[in-house]
Amino acid sequence: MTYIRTLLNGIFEENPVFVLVLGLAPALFVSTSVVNAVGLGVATLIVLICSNVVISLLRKFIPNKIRLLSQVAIIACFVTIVQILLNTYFPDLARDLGIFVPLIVVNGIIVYEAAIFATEHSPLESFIKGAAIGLGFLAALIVMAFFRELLGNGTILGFAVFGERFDPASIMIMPPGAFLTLGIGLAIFAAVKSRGKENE
Amino acid sequence: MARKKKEKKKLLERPGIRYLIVLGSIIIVSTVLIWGVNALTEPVRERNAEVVVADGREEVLPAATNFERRRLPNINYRGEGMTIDSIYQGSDMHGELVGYAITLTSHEGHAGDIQMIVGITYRSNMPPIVNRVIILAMSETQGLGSRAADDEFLDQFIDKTEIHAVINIGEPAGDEILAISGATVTSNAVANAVSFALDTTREVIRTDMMTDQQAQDILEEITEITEEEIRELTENGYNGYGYYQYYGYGTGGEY
Repeated sequence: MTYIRTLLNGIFEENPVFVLVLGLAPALFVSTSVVNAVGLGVATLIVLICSNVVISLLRKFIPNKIRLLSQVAIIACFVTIVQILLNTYFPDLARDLGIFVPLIVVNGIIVYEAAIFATEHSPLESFIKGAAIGLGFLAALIVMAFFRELLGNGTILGFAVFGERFDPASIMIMPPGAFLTLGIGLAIFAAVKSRGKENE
Repeated sequence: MARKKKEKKKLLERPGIRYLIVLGSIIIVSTVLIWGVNALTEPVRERNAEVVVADGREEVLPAATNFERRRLPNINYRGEGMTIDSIYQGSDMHGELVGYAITLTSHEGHAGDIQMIVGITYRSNMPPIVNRVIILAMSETQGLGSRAADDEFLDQFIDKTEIHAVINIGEPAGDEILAISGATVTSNAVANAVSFALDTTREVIRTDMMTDQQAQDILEEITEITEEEIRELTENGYNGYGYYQYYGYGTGGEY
């Protein structure tokens, strides 16, 4: 039960983008289309789970002084593997995501989880926490991309949703649209949170 | 003896050594893992690249329905700063030659290699003409050199039979190319490669004519070249300059 609670927590109460406000650069950049959002979200999720588990397994062997260095090395290893797999099996997606795949190494969410959580918890707990935060990131990216692609391009997953007479608001695809969407998302989350507190 | 043992123990207990071992093993394991994944997926990537090149060939030479790879021993596959990856001869559904698709890599890019396919149409007794150029792979600066892949730049090559110069400013004349502003190196690399593809096509066509006995006889008559000299030239590696002179093709002035 607590595991399901952790998972939901990662998606809603501790959503990395809308609540922790971490990993914003990739979130702003790749949320132009749902396909890209899913691509980077899943890549980040995989790296997050793998690095969390391995760092948790090795937590007793790694001396404190070289902890961060070792964690970055481990994360970089998984990112490189994910990048090779993306280049091999999804070359078009890899090209669209560009520099943001290698940049997962310095994604605040992953470094934060590795440094704060995985060094002090068991591999199973770290796995669940990694999955929770990763799914939260994925969900945030998909939600942002859904609205940006729908309003800015009139499509979802590349399929035209509105008729031909729909004139898309291309500002939603451009950088200002990313900040608008993020701002609205942050506002909604903050509003829900404060409403919850008032009720208590 | 006992002291020596103590020292040894000390060495392993020293924190610096321990850090080195821990970090070293992490890096070694990571490297092996990455190497393994890379080696396992390499064949898939190679196959993907072949498909991309095959699609590219159809794109640059749409008139062709059938492509046949040419491997000519006397063609110079290495130009100055570039390498020819493959030469394909395209023919239409009647088996008639329509042109060539040449895949080549320029090593003169601003940020590494630039791979492209040049489609060249050819009708007998006409000079080979560039039909279309597409960039397959490059890592040029985003927004500057990367614009070499845009149609705005690449369309300049269409219908060219020769490329004499890349200019930075002004209106390009018949055989000139206007460089992308801020990316002269990239523009030059692409233009040189296209020019080399045209040269190579001419060499291929010459070679094909050479094997035609009749053409050879006529040419020999004109230039009075002995068979031994031909053999010598071919054996000593093909030298484009030599052939132009002997066969009287072109003027030599273009080089």
